[in-house]
Amino acid sequence: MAMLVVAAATYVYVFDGDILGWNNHTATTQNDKPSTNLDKPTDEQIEAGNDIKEESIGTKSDPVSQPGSGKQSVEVIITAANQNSGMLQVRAQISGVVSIGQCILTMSKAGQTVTKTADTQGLASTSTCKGFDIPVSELSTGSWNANLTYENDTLSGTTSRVITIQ
Amino acid sequence: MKIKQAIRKFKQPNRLVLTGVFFVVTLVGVNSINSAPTHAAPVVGFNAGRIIDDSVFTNANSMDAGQIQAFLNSKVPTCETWHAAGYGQNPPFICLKDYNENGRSAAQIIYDTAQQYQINPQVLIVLLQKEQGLVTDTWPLNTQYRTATGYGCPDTAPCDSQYYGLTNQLKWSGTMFRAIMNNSSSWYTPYILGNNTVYFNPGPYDNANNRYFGRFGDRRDIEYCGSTTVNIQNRATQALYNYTPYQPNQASLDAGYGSAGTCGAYGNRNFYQYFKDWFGNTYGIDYSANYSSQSAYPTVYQGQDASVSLSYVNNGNKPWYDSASAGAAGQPPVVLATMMPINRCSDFRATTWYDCNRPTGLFSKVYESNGVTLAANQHVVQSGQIARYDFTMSVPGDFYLGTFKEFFGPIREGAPGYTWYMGADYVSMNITVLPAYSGSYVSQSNYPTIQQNDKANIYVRFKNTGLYPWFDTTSVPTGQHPTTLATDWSINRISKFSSGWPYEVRPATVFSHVYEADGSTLSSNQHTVQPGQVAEYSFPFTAKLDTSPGTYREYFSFIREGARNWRIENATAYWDVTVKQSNVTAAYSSQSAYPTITKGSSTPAHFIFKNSGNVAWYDDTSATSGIAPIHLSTYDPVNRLSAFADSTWPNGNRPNYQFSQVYESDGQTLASNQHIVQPGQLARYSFTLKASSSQQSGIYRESFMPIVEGAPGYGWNTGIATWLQVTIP
Repeated sequence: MAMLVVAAATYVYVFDGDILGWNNHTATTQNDKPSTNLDKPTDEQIEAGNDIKEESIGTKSDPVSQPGSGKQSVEVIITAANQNSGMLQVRAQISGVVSIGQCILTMSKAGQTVTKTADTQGLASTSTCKGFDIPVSELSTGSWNANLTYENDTLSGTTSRVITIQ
Repeated sequence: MKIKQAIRKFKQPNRLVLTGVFFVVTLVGVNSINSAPTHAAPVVGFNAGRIIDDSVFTNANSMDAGQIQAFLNSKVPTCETWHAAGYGQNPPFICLKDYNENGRSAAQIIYDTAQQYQINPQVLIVLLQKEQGLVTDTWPLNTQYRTATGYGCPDTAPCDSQYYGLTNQLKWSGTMFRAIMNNSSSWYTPYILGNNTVYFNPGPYDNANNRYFGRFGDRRDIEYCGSTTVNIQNRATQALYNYTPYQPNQASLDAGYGSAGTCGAYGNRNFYQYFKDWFGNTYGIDYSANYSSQSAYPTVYQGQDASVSLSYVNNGNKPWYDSASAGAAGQPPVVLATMMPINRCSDFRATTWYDCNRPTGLFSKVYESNGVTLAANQHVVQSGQIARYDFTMSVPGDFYLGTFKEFFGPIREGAPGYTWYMGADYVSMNITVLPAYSGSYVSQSNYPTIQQNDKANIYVRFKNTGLYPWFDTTSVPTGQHPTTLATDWSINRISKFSSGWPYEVRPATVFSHVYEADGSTLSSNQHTVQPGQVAEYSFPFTAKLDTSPGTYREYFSFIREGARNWRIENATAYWDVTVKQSNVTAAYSSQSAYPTITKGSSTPAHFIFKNSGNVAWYDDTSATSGIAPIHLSTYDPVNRLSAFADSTWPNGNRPNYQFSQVYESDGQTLASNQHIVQPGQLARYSFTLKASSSQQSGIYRESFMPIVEGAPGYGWNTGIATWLQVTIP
């Protein structure tokens, strides 16, 4: 059987398929669309899928209460602090999917304080503050300490970061 | 096969060598033909700031529902429907390829979501795999469908039930992706285009010591595995981080699909790798256009314009600028050009085009991907948005009739090399040209029966039903084309009856009459036919002496002389012309008395002949081109030079070319036409005989005959001759 396959493949290759009218097409236009892989999944793909399944089924640990606050702690991180076109864009990520609560951003520097507040928006697996775009004109150049706090009735979290205004 | 035959068939000499290698390789690898390829290799090409391009992320038409179904089928060849109970669920287990929700299959739900939110269905498929492993799972749990895309499922808290269900999960995923792609002002994200702090891992758990790694122990420490500043380059990548906010560390990339230890993070790595392995490159083409829509094919009269539009979607990575915005952006504008071939000068170019092959360089409208919502910037087309080009097609007044395909496509004007090309399907705007010049039949003279050597007067009338006036050769303005009557079937056919026409194939070039629409009231301008008015041409059919008897069909058409599209539509008429055999004969009627002429003096004489034939006689006054006149000629022999010719004779053997009188058959009553002798009528030829002073005395016989002047053969002979006895004393 293998020899027949080899012989047939050789026939096609040597004769370019011309004798039987087979055509040797090679489409090489710029806009060739990649073809979808309809093979069986590889073992690695299957195994990775199974790992994902197990992880998604696994129990999740409860958040730890913030000492003294009586509220559960959530992680807050500043993911972006970019100065663009006269605006300081500060973005935050809150662990957990929440749509209730308030974010408070306090920028402080040598006796100056600028405070902004924003609501929150839930995302797929985290949340974010609906803000912050601060006109640079409200901030002098130099290093500012940015403290971001999120809080609602049951959750709270905080983070801080140094942001340099140019 | 014979080896010698095989060798002669070779097109490239080195194929023999390669074929031998092929043999060996094939034999060695024959046992592995049916094995799926293994993939333990590390992930290659992952760029944390550019995981997938916007154009690929938003290519909603990459697969239809059938193709999605076929793909899902391929990833679970055998579903373990009756797998043993596990994770708290008893069988049966329904695989994704077989899953239905509210009457729709999973494949259909994926497709519909992709269309609704203009997100690539392949992205949604990979999302289902990366979040729940659903695509390859051979015995998925019901809970996996409940949180199929992981939407509303934080890392450290239960999932929010308001997002439960496959359809709901895909809907929210699509909503978020689309909001981020649109940079919606009502959708906030932790990540923006530009520099962002992206962590590797949210904070791993130390199973060996039952605590979290890092500073706290009792809760996660996101700083433990660290972060880098990632320059997020496009919104699709921004969208992925909004979904899964962690980037893979190097160990994760080195592990391929596998685990990478404490700080491993796999969500976005798996997205990238699954997409590449299943659907190809996550990067799109910088500049690419796809046909979106066009206005209806126009139908236009000659000389008129049509407004049309063509729309294309930007399915590349880079924005398009038009001629209004390209300068500030420092980019070549994306303009609409003629195609097939590129830069073809169009016959339908309008004055608004900025070149003969450039209908427009401006976006008339820019829409969001839904094709309905106007984009904020009407001169920049972002990836996934749609550009509409409005332009005019102008039909020249004398253009051909029919349907013509005009091809167009967007190009990057002035881009170096072949980078002007944007890969768009060349789209044709089929324009149908209707005649601006047309007529409708009004009337014509009857089919004539004509004797040889006779004629019939003909007329034809047509109404101008077109858009523009008809001018004849006396009124045509400079630069325009006169309307004439031409022989047809085929055009410029040589006619037997063309004697007396302005040209052999043009019976008439001047309107004989122009009427108002009623067809009877003469219009004020007899040489211009306005739309709605009626033109008349009059002309003769002349049958010559040698025109064979029979019936002939003669076609004629109104045309526009010298125009590119010369035919006036629906303005053709024909006559069946019957030609009869003619007998041109004369009978003697009377004559003057035999004269006695003194030398050096003159005396009048005459003959009267009856037209005893079946065709009218014409003299030089009445005979038109093609008709042989009946002249009085000397006879015995014919054309004998007479000694008694007077200076009034046209020549020495022709006493008279004219009928002096024409009588009715009674010989007394003058006929109404004194230059045409109908059959039965009588013609009198009067002339003068002169005897010269040197003429010899004697008696002379002078014979005469009416003849058909110029008739071929013996056709001149009318059958009667007579004579005068002239006495010279």
